[in-house]
Amino acid sequence: MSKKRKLSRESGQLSIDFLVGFTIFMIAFIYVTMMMSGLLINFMSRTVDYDAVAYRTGVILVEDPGEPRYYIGTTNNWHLLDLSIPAERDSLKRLGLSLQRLTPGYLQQQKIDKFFTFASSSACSNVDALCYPRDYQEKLIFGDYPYYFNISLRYLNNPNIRYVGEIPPPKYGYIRRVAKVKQPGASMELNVTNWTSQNVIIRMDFSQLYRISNPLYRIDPLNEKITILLRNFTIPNTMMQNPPFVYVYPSSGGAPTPLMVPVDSPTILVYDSTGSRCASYPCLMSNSSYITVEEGFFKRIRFDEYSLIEINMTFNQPVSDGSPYIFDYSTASLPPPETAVIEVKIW
Amino acid sequence: MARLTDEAQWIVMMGFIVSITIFILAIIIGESALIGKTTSESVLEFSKADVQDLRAEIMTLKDKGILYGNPIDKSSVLEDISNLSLQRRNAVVYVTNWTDKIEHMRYIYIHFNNGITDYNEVYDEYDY
Amino acid sequence: MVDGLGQLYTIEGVAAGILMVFTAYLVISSTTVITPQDIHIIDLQLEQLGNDALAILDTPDSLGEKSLLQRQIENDGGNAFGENFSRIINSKVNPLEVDNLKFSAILYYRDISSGNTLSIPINNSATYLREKAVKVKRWVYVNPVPPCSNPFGLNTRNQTVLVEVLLWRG
Repeated sequence: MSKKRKLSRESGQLSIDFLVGFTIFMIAFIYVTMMMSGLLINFMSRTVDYDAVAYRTGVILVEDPGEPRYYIGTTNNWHLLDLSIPAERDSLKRLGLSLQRLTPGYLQQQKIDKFFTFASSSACSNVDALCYPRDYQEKLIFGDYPYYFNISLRYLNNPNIRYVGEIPPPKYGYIRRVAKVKQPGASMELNVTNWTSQNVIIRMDFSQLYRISNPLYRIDPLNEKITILLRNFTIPNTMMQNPPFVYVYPSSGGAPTPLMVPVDSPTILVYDSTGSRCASYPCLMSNSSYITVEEGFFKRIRFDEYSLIEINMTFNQPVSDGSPYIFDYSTASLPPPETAVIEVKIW
Repeated sequence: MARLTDEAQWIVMMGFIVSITIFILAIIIGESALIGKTTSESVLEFSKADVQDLRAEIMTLKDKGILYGNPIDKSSVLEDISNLSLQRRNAVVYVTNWTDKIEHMRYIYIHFNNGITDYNEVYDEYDY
Repeated sequence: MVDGLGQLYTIEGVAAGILMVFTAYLVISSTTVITPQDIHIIDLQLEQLGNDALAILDTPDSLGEKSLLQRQIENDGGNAFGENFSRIINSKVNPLEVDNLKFSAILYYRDISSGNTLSIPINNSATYLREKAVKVKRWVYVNPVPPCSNPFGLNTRNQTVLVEVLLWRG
């Protein structure tokens, strides 16, 4: 016997019909509320960002020395890292081309060369080159979005363009910067005289050289190459007897220690009368001979900004009066800095 | 057993109220224009070039020896900078320098304030 | 109990849900919001480029030398400055492309006898006809004592002058 129970207005039960209907309504209501809270997300546009990202990238390139950066007393500098070693690639944090933090707008040639040395992602893990595009996106452009980019550089008096990146679409974020680039390599012209001594001694006091606070005009033997031009050979058939010797003066004073110049790079190279490298000694000299101290040689033999050294060359004829030729700002000169224009395009 | 009565119409009415509210919300938002500070406005407001230029000029004066030479020259050059800054750049600039003979250090104090940016620096270097 | 009668609450609930979802879809697909155009990007690019160019012209080629700006103000007038400045701001990386920026440069200096700030034009590449322009400035140290010819009539003493350049896209 099924007696139907009457649901009156005072009874506390709800029918299943009501529950189902109300549940459907509540689910739909919650879904709609979630949808409405995302109403404004549709209006976030990315086009304004590209110019700002391009500006920031331009500032990092031109005004930031990068990380790890060089300051007096350290040997860091990101263009000296060997990127084939994973630990060194990880230590590279920021790609900045500037010489020094306190002087923005002066770029370093070696950093520019390293910046434009890149390989595609599949071929870059054991190579001393930047990964394109990953390293540039992570260490220069930053941000979660993988921006496309095209960074190009040209010296004002030179039609060659260096660039990294792809051809941009019609619309992109853009900034153009102009900066001075220090041309590395100081040179000194040395006139030999036919007095009594058969030795030419060149003295370099690094503490004098590193006193200049403006890095654009600083002669930097530890990081750049040095060229010494040998001129005024009046006695014919003057020959250099041995490879040059380097004498190191200890900082506490006392007698200098001789160091033989190594055979492999970086080292001191001697160029003979024809302008080619001296293969064997004695080596014939003329008024187009010169010696080059390669970049990194002084660092290799562990000199620093306070060293005092002499380079000693022996000849078979009298070439000087025995007193050293001083290499400093009055005798040596740097090439003038070049102007470069840089464009950054981001999309 | 539930029948077709007027009792359930409050559910549909709630649905209608929510829909109408959504429409009103859309109308209000459609009337608005998003305002805010664009990136380039913020960049233009920060006077990076003023500070860098002032620093570069003080370093030039230091390298040329003006800051350590004739005091009349030095005060007239620094007053040029202060006056022209106030007139043309709307910025207060104050520069002074001193030497610590015991520690062999030279100091330069640079102060720049253009109402939005306040820059203070003490630059030191070894006195050879 | 399932029978042929349509259930009241269920139908009402479904109807209300469909109504809300449909409204929300309609609204979201049709509302647009006006965002402001970033017109200051052009100012930013011009100002950065102008400051860079002035810094380059105020950098000497070697230690102890005078920069081009200093030599122009002390001795040579403003023509070489104008040519070089125009060349630097209009150079692009592609050597065949040339930009179309114009400038007008004025020199501000302090006259120590009257205490006033005076101005004198240096050089310009075109007349300014009220286009949208930015102003870039640079401090220059000069000392126009004889034998310098002092073409701008400055005080013959060690001084710092302000070069102001108005830059616009022509």
